Amino acid sequence: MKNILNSFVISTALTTVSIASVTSDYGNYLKELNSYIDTRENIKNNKYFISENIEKMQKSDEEFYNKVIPFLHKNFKIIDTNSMGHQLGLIAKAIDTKISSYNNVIKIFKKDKKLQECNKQVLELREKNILIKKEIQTLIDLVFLNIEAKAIYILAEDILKEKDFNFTLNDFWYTHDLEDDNKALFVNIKGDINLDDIYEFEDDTDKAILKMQKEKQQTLSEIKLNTQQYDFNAISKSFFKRLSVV
Amino acid sequence: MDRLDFSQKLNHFSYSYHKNDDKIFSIDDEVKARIIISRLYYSLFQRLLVEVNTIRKSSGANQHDALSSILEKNAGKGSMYRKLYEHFKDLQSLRIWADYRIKEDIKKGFDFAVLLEKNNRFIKSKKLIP
Repeated sequence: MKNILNSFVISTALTTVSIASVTSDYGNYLKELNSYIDTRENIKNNKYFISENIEKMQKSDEEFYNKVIPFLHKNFKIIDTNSMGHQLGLIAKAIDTKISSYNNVIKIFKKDKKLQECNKQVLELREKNILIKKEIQTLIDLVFLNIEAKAIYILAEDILKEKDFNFTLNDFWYTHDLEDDNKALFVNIKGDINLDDIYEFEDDTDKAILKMQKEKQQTLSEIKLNTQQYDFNAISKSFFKRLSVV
Repeated sequence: MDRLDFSQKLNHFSYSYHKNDDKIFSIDDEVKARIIISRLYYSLFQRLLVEVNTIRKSSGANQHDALSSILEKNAGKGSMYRKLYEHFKDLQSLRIWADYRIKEDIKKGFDFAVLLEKNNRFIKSKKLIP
């Protein structure tokens, strides 16, 4: 885990392959643990390894939570967003599997008085993974937010091309608030600041955003989504309600 | 931005401002943007309170929510009132970013020149509440 994590963090050209490596490595200790507890005999013979594996998992979770998640928060925009969403879905799915495995481990450990300390640690691991899952879900939402922001920016550029205003769009930016029910995509401009022109441009773009969001909902209601890997509830959300020139 | 770094820069800003020191201009663009937005929100907030006597007696978040509700109700009464509501919501959202969401960086080039112009027009308006 550590080698992969280091190469992941220092990599300047972050790829989805490196995220995938983290995903696959992430569950290895749990698989190993499961192999030690599949029978009573195995539990008896492998108590040392069980304890050692739990420690490795704790360390692995800490590294993931304290290093990988903040790194992903900082860099989710520069990675190919579609692939990133896919990989995060795989991570979320892996965490679901982990949480379910922890539940099984807890059931087994509960029955053995000598494993009470281990059981307490696994309970903590489960709680930590619920927290990690929440963070991954937020990251998935942010990936979809970024995809939507890019689409609205392109839409706004097209609308502005039809106008005879003395400004052009320069860039877009947004805050990470996912619950804002009047959320605006912020754009800055190059050229003259004429508020009447800017307001007209905003109003026309807002109408187009509304139309785009309605079409999205309509399309989603008509197609059956392929959600075999992970249920992306963010796909049906429309985060931005309007555009604001700032 | 690092939270400790932000804290130190705000302290530097306040200290330099108090001393009328030129060092105030060495403040980096993001901290400058956060300070401007935070104050800009309150400039509009105070301007609105001039016309909305009824909520001046309430305190804290209640005042802000009450003001937002009033502006939302008025938004249907004309494009100026709709734009005022949207501007208020923009500033509310940006102020939360400016004061609390320190780890969310801003993109380079966002100097909020248009936001300042929008605010200026509203502050100078004779009537913001119909």
